[in-house]
Amino acid sequence: MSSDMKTRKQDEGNITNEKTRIDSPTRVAFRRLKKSKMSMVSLVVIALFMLMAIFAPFVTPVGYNDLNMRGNEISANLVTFQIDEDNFVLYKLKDHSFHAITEDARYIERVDPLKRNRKERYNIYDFNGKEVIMDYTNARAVGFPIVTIDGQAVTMERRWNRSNILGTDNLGRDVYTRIVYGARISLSVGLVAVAIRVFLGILIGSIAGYYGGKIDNILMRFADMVMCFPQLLIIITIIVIVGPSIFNVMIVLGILGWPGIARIVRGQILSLREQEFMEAAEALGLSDFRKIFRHLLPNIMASVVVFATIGIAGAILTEAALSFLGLGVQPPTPSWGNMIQAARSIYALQRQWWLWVPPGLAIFITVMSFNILGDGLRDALDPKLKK
Amino acid sequence: MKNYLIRRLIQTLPVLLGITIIVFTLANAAPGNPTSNMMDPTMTAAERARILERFGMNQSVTVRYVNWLREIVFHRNLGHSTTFIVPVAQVIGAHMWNTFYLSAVALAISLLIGIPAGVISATKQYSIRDGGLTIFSLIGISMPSFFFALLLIKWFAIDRQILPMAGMSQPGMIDIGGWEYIKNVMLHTVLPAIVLGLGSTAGFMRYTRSSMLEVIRQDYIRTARAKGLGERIVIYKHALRNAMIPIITLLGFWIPGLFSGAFIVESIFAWPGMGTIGLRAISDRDYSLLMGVSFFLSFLTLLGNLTADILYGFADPRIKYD
Amino acid sequence: MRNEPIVRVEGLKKHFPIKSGVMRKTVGYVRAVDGLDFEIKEGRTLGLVGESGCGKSTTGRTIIKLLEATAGKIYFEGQDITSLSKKEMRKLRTKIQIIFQDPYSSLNPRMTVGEIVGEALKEHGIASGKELEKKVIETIEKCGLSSYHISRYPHEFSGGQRQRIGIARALALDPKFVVCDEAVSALDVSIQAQVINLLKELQKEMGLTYLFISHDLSVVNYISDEVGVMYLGNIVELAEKNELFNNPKHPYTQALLEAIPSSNPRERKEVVPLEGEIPSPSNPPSGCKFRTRCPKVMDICSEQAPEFKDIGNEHFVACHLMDM
Repeated sequence: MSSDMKTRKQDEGNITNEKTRIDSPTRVAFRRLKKSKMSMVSLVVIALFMLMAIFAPFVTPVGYNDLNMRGNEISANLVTFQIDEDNFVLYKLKDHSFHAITEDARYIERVDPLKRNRKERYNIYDFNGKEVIMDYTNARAVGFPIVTIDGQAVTMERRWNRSNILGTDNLGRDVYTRIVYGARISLSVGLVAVAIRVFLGILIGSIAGYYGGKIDNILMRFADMVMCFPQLLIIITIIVIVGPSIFNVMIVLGILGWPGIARIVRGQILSLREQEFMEAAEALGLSDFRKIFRHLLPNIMASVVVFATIGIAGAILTEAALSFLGLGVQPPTPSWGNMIQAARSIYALQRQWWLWVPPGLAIFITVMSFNILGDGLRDALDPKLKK
Repeated sequence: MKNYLIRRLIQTLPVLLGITIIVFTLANAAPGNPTSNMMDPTMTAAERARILERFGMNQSVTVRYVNWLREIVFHRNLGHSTTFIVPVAQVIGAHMWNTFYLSAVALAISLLIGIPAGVISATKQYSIRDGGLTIFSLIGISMPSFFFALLLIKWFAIDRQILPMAGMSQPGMIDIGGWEYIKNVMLHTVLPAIVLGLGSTAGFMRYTRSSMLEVIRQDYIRTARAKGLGERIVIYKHALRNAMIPIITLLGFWIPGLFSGAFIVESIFAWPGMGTIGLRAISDRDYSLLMGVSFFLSFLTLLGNLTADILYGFADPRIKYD
Repeated sequence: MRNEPIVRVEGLKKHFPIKSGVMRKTVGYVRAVDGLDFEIKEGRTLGLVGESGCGKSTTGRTIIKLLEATAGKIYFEGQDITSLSKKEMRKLRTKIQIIFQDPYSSLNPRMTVGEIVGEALKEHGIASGKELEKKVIETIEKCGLSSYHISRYPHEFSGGQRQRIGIARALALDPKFVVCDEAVSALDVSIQAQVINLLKELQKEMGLTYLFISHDLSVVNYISDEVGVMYLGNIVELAEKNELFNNPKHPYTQALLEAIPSSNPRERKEVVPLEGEIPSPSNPPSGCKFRTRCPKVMDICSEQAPEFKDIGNEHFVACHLMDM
């Protein structure tokens, strides 16, 4: 024993003393992930959206269903006029109306005119005795009216809306609040749908990969069948049958998405089965259960995680599309997709960007973050790249 | 090679059969029947029954399925559309070319832009060009198509009236025909094709890039360079050929995605294609049309997969000699 | 030490079907192992050598039933284990173990050393909790690792250390028979020496019986008691080590021994390399499979396969030259 102790210690290795930290494969992966700045940024963005969704009531000034018909369709970037020291107004193009605001652009209430002259296109207002005339003859062309107080013209100032930083929608609801609550919908649909896919995919994929033969054949043919369908057509048909709701969307997206993950799982298992540590597991007399759960599955989780992350991105996109078509989340519940329905009117599309651009951007940023994170994870978990 | 082909064809049959079953089940599971949307309140139950009988709706499910299947296989008859009151095959026939045309243009754009971009990205890895292209491809797969469509419509069709807003051609143009008509259609194609093609372009770019990166790392590329071959030949003749193999397989799976995307795009741009027809069929409970469209699209996808596998068989020499 | 064979193999065959055609019909067989007879006595080491593709690895795996034998019989401690079911075999696995070649793919990258070595003990209910930890530490220390290694992961170790982990895993169960399938072939030469010495010591300490598979004759020379030479699925010569190396009878053995480079630069040998290529194991030559490359081939060699028989002193040869 003694003579060999010396030669044994000469054997190279990375571990020379007890004090170094344990370097599990997960920690190694995280280290590699941190190297990609874009992935870290995406992780932060996703975390922010999640926090926003969870703590929605705390980060929003009002409820997502608080109506205000007299203050509806107020823009985010305001055209304002100063009437006198204490009176400021904003101008709403769509119906040529004035709304009183504070000096720092907070919304107070709608102001009704004293007199309307639709033929000559002007309104007359009374503010503290002053006669204010709003001439909106050219307003649609330039974006704002000519306002005179007792004959004197007032210059227009552009301010950002302090009460509703993203304006209000057609029912007077705060768009920003609805976007925050919309995050709840998109994120939960994405996560739940993919969770279902992963569960089904791992189940079916591992059975097919592990047992092979006829079972494998049948299951994979079945997977082919599901993958052959134009997804949207089936999803829409099913939603029409079972009715549009957030739960149905989650379930349908989950159930139709398993073939992707199943194929990956199966492929990984087929290649892992030939690895020597699997033969070792057999030689050690380990049970099938142990072999699948202790040896195979932990080694396929890497690919599954990558695919799932990108799957979340896709699920969020599909939910948005369905809600946009009216087949997903129904109003008044806000979903980024159904908020974009506002753009179906040409006027809104052209002049009321705050109604549909923010939700679109929200979808875009969230989906892009998941895609970037997925890419980063794939690079971090790729065994071929050197450490 | 021949064996491989025959085996693939045989494997396709059960899938095809499975598709017909799924299509039939789904279509007939929807509540309501063709008379649901006939709003005449004075229609008696007997009258409803008679209409249903005319459409063959009063028989049992299995009988209806077998009949439907028989009609397709032996008589190439896909049934009768209740919405359009003409044979389903005719409805599909009138609209499918519009969808093919749009999809083909989108696919062409994606291949012509996506693949070279992917090659450049891979060969000039870590350069600014690569970074820019990568970001572009990420944007492409993350952008919701309907949102992008709205943006384009706003910028090009409404704010500046350069391109038309919707439809495949201006009403009346089709009667004028000739070169004017073709020009008009091409104008109308621009926006929808860009929207439809965005996702595919980005996708191809990414796959080409990653595939090329893998291939370029291989030793046989190093050998080709060491032999003194020009970089161009090395890349295009050796690397690209091998990198294309997984991409060709992908083409087959891309087709359902293209059809799915077409649904949304056709809906926003009021494009008279199969997407619009499909949505119509769903809302009108037009079973025959719905089944016809579903089956047709799935069949096309299956064909696409088969073609991809066959192409793959030719491209990969390991299979050639099976 | 008893001298009854702990492992005995009779007429062992393992054929792999070749499938082709549309319906994937079996059109032929790869005859990886084509009729082996040998036995290993307790506490001894049988070295099995041959070129790549001669079937030695397949032999190792078939004996311990990682592969199902196509024909023949396998006896372990006198018991016929050839047709045992998976369940019954599982109980025996504590006595039969295997050490693999590739230190990089033979360990589950997601398990710690402690888990890898202790897993089988847990599974078979032999030990648990503190007992288990003690046994695991005992085993890895025997193999030259330290106790604090048990919470580390394989990727932190060098190739030689990983192989020690693999050895520890096999020996944790206290087996009687261990197959070493090219156990040192993937290691650097200096490390090879250490690991082989380790294996020898452990054999003495634990009373193990080895089947040592390798393509490297010098390694086999060092560790084996008996040596068998394989060619295309058959053993062509089997003898006690020194007898085989000093007195090789089969032309193939002779060619192999001649090809070993000498460490003495002054010793220049006349090496006559073997002619021809190794035939395909799915379509071997008739009669004696070596005849296409044998420098001493005779007519009878193509008609009849030679018998594998004892020419005296427990020296077995399969060659018609022995009948002269």
